Amino acid sequence: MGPKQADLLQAALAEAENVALQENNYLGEDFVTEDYDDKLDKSASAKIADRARKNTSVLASGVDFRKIMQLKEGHESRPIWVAPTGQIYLEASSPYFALATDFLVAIAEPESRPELIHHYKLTPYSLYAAVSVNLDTETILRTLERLSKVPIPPEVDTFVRRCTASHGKAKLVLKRNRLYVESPYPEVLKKLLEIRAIRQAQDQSIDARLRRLEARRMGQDAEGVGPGQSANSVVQSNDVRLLESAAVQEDRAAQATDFEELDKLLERRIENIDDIADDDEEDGGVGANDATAMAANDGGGSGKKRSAAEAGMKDVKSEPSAQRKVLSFEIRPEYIEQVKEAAMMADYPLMEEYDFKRDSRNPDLPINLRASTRVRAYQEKSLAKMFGNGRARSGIIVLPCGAGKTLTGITAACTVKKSCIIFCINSVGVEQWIRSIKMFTTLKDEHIRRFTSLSKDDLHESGATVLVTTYNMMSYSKGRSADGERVMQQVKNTEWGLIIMDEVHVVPAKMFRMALRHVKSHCKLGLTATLVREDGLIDDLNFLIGPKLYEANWQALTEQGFLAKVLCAEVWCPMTPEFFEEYLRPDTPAKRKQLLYVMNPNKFAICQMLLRYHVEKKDKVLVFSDDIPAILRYSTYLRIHHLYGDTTQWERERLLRRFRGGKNMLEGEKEINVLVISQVGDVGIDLPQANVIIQVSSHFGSRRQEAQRLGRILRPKPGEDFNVGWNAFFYTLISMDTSEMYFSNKRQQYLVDQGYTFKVIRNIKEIARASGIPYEELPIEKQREIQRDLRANKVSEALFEKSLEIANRQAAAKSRKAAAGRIAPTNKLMRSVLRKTGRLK
Amino acid sequence: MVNAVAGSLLTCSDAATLQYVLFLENEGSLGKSFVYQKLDETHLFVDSAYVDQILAKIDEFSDRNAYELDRGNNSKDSAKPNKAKR
Repeated sequence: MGPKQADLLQAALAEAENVALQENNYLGEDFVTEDYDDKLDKSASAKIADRARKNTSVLASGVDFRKIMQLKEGHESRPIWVAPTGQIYLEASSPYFALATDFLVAIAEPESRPELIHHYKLTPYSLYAAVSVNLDTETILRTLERLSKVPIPPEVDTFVRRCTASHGKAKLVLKRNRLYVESPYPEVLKKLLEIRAIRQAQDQSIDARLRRLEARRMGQDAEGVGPGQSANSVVQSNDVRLLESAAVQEDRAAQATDFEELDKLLERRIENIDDIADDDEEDGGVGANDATAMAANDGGGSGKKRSAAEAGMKDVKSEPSAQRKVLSFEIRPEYIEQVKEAAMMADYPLMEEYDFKRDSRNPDLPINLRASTRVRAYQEKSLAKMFGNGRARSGIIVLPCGAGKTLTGITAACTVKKSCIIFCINSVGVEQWIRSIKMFTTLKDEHIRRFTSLSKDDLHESGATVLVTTYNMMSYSKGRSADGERVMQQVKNTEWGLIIMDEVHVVPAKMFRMALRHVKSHCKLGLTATLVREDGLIDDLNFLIGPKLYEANWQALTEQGFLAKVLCAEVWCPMTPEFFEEYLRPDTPAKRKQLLYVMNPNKFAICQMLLRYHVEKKDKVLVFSDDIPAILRYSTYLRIHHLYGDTTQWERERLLRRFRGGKNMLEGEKEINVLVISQVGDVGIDLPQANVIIQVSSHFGSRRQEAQRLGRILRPKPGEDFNVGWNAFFYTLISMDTSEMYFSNKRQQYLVDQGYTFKVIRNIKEIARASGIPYEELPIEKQREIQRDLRANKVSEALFEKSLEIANRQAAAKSRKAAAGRIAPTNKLMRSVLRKTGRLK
Repeated sequence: MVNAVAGSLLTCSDAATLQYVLFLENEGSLGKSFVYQKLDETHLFVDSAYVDQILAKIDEFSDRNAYELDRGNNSKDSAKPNKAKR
């Protein structure tokens, strides 16, 4: 939400209140007497705090706030409740719902958005994000107060103030491919440098150069060493004592907007001086800072007025005493995450903004959206958050699968118009991005380069490239081919304007962090549908990339017809007595228990029945299973094609072609309507034709997998009428009374939070019978056979044999290399195989 | 000579539930044998004294497979960025 939008919101609210006033509504009255209100609230909040201590009773489920959260006058027309824990509840029926939603999305994280009541939560990250889109502390608190049915609890007030106060004081900037932490507040830099992690990261190598430089300068202009100059150098050499003297001169009263204007001016001046300083290669890194100090020195008060005049800025309040110096220290790129994290912990999150419009150093990329490309309203809204004040800021945009994440990313690239690197999770993703770029933009093919295991293109000669690659390629560190090494070097030497990270929820894994470390960029955009991970590492994204900038409301998009209307059903399949008996036995190994409930014969029968029903309706069905043995079973028993990790690339492409059908197929190929698929189908594989999913087994309680799988069928099919019932079906088959029930409920939680309801179907047999769909039990001898095989571990053993064979083959190849002294076998499995075969001791 | 035993007829909702009762019987978790006779796929003839215990065990079993939302844990990280882990 940019400043403009914030103003609009304020104006709209005020207007709404005026209307309410005419209707003799309390909300309006309150608006008029706002000043009194503030004073009253202070004493009231003290009372509430008292009462909170005495009266809060913790119930078995949750906390009873009734006694401390007293309703304000006019609460009927106010849409939200603000609880002392920072939780915010929004009534969807309120006339101010849309307004409140816009505001809450900007300042809080949506926790759960079902039909009637939406639940948001204030977090430090969400508040940082709010400040970075120019909402200030007072606006946040005032708007909250106005929308809330209850007075803002003092805890929340303190929390908001604490989180917003320190934001934006320090920035992380990339200049000439070097990273600097920059701030006009010496005390902030001082504080940051007091943190060990940051001190470690500070580039020491430049210290020596700095001292030399300073010595030279001392000699040169001994007559007038400005405080700015000394302060700047001092920060770099870590002398905290001297720094304090600089801090005294600092005008702390200046306003944030003030600081920004000044900052812009300074930067402009820096750039001019930079060009001169650039000639001096030795001082390259320091040049910028040096120039900063100089600019600050002579540009203080007078320069500021000029900037106001030049740019015609309205908001600059003239403060004659203001003397702003942007101080900075360099950090080594390999420590960047550490620094960001430490700064976040110290409550001084580093802001990353890229003023791409005035970046003349990096070549422009001739990329524009085609005239025929339509950007949807919600995509524009999400990008407005990213480019709020004409600069690009890093962050994450959360859009459901099928809602056009790719186009959002491409539009961002078209806005920045600088070199752009796109990370995908696999080579299929790479091809999809390239296809989309060609389809949506006018960028010439020569500017689009691939960096995958198959093709390693050099970057474009002009330096302006869109490079599409995978996380793997970027993080892989050893044994690169000569080509790979060359391209990698080019990537490292490039100052990227924008990184786009597709499916960003995978990034927290360690190796993906490596990928980020190699690529220096001004701005990062993460795209994902599911910002959840069971390991809780999602918080890391806040310093790896940036705050969540926008999260779409799934239900709203569904209503607008941008997503398919999905019927989610949980089908309960009773276990057969024989299977359940074995499942209950205490000596059954956990793995077999799992297979027992996955291969529950009743599941087979129900799956078969559903397939019959949907194939007859000419639907395209994906059957998902995580267990390979189960995939093979379902595939053979139901006579359908299967696709999993071991399926060859050639076969995979052929199957996907046949599933997509129509003109996607090659001559002589027959269309297929059903496919059993393993986790490989969860992400990345684009099958827009699919509209039914039957999930027979899944990865325990993974909420992300559930949402990703649903995403496979969310893309609306062209030419469908949205007013007629459901147009996609998501069945999960659950074996009753097994731990699958537990996992299933957990998995659904993310989608439930997005407003989906799961319909439990207990008596599908009867439903089938009533609607005349043939239902066949699995023949008893077939059931026995499955059970026998399970006991004998037949299927999995066969698979194990196969994987061992593959491992053996790979190991043989590797050991040849190892024998030649080229590589050391690292893989655990590889080592064990080598040991067995006597090639390794 | 007629040999009569007093007991209760236990009707299970499905075959699997009956399997669970049999599992309880075999496991001996109620301390004593209580199933007199398996009548068919969903009916058992059991010792009346154990009916309440059997029902309680079944409840307990199905609770074990129920997922409960723990939003309570989340509220603490709203106060401070998560420092744990890594």
